[in-house]
Amino acid sequence: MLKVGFVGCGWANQVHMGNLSKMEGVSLVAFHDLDHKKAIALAQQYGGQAFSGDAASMLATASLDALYVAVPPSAHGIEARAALQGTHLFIEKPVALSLEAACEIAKAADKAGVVTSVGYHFRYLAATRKAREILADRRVGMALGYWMGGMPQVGWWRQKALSGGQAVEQTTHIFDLARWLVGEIEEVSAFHAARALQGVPDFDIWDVGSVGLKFENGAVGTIHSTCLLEQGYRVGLDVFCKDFILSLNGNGLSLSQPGKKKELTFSNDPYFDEDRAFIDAIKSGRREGVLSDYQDGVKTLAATLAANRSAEAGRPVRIAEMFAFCS
Amino acid sequence: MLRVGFAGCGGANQAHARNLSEMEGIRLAAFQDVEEERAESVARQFGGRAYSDGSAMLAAENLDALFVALPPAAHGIELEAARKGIHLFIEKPVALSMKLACEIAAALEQAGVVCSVGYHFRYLAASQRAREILADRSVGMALGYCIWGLPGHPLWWRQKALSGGQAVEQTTHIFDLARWLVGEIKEVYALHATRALQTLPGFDVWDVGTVGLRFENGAIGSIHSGCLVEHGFRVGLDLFCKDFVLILEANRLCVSEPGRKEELTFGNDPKLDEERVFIEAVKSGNREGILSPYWEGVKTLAVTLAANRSAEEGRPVKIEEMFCA
Repeated sequence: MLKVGFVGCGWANQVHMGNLSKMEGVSLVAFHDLDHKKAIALAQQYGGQAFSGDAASMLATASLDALYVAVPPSAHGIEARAALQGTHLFIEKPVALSLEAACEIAKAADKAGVVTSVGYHFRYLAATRKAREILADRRVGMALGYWMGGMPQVGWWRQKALSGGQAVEQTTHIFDLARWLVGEIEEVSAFHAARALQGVPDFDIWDVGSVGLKFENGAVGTIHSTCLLEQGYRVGLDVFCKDFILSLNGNGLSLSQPGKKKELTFSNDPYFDEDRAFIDAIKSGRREGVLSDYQDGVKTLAATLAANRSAEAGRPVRIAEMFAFCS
Repeated sequence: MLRVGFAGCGGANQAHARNLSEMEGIRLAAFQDVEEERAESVARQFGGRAYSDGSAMLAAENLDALFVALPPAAHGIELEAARKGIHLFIEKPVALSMKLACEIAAALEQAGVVCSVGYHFRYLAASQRAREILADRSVGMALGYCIWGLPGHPLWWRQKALSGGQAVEQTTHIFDLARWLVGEIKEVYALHATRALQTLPGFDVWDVGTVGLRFENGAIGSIHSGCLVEHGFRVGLDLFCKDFVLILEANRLCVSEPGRKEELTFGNDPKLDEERVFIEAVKSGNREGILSPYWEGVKTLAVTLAANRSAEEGRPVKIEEMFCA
């Protein structure tokens, strides 16, 4: 029986709880949230125990095989302690709010040799898998990414010190997809602005952002973010090659060439698949099914933090620069 | 009878000539092209005289107006034409260097002649409607696109010294539209690359480009160019305000808000309109209809040349920098 604990009982971890509860040989035993009532409710639902006090004390008491961490970006940290105890880790994106914190956790996880998986579930969409196959033998010219929609209504999301802003907290999925499908990002140059939501209480992030990308392989691109659009708009990635356009939208893939257009729709549940892959990796010791481990998640974090730095400093920022503090 | 001449007999000026040939009171008097045969062929079509040299044409003909449609690097005849008091319709981009563009601007100012630049997207009824709609909205972000294949232009298009590359020669329309609908651009940061077409003979421009923008009014955006997808992708401009999206593509406007989506299609011919407005201004002296006077063309040129400089030097470039001597 794999014993699983949860730090953070918000929407993201609830999705994971639902998935895990359907799996054989997995037991949901420990629940923690700063809002203790949430932990109690879920502990009741899944037959586990709710822990008050801090997450560290839960780790000390419950004997966990794996820990799911889904907290506001600024609240990461428990992972290092968990790793040192030999607890396998599933961590929701983004992996931290600073590279220093992320690198510390990465070191601990590496040393402990635990399985790590980061919740970049877009990698698990069947449409993404297909896109990756297709792009494997094509040379990408340009990639244009989008996370354009409304603003999540949780208070911490709109506070830079807690969320890091939209690129770090949310568009990170698209930055991650760009890395996964096109290649490592060498440099970013970002323009951010607050154009309409600055009057919203506690809002100190930006509501529009455009991040230019230079990939190590020579391709270029831009990832656009906005949280101005209550009606929603688009989340996806368009990739341009010679006489070939690949457009990824959710679990749908559009391919167009001269005289030929193909639409492919898939229907797998990427959250279930990523949870399945994580649990299987722990049980079997074979990690290939885990498409995004902690080190990978750190690289995506670096790109988004670089975008923040670029926007603030008014200059391009090389990703390598962000790792100056990591040894 | 207005006597009109044409400097450059490629596709752009042939199209202008066709339209003008159907207008009253216009005589298509003279056609000039460095390729003499082409000038002769077009002159035959419209009943004018052919020249291989621009100065020779200006000296011999008594022109009231001149349509200039040349590879970007070939501008210059405007100086002589202005001095002779000839009104000018100039195709985009207005030049390949800020130095020449400013010189021409000064000559036009001094001569007091009518001048219109061929930024015909401004004349699309959809663009004008968009401008009305945006008058009392604050744009957050503007995303522009000019992504399709390699135009059927002669070789000069793919040579940087002659065309300036796609942003300068072609995407300039979208940069111009962004300026017209959102506001002046303050700074650009551009990433250009050649990813597929480098093997084409003579090709030394880039086939993909993305230019980040910061506007003077605080809005941001980016404009994307590409000439590597033969089957085309799109040419358009998308504008994002709070809970409001405006998409402009050719003469079609799509507006969407929570619970409401509206699509408006218009049918005017923007090239015909810009030509009519120019001819009207020449005849009557009334220049109000001209939506893109020369200095507008200079400002749009500045943005695209700034993008080139930014891409080459790997740094953000403020547009004002382009106006220093």
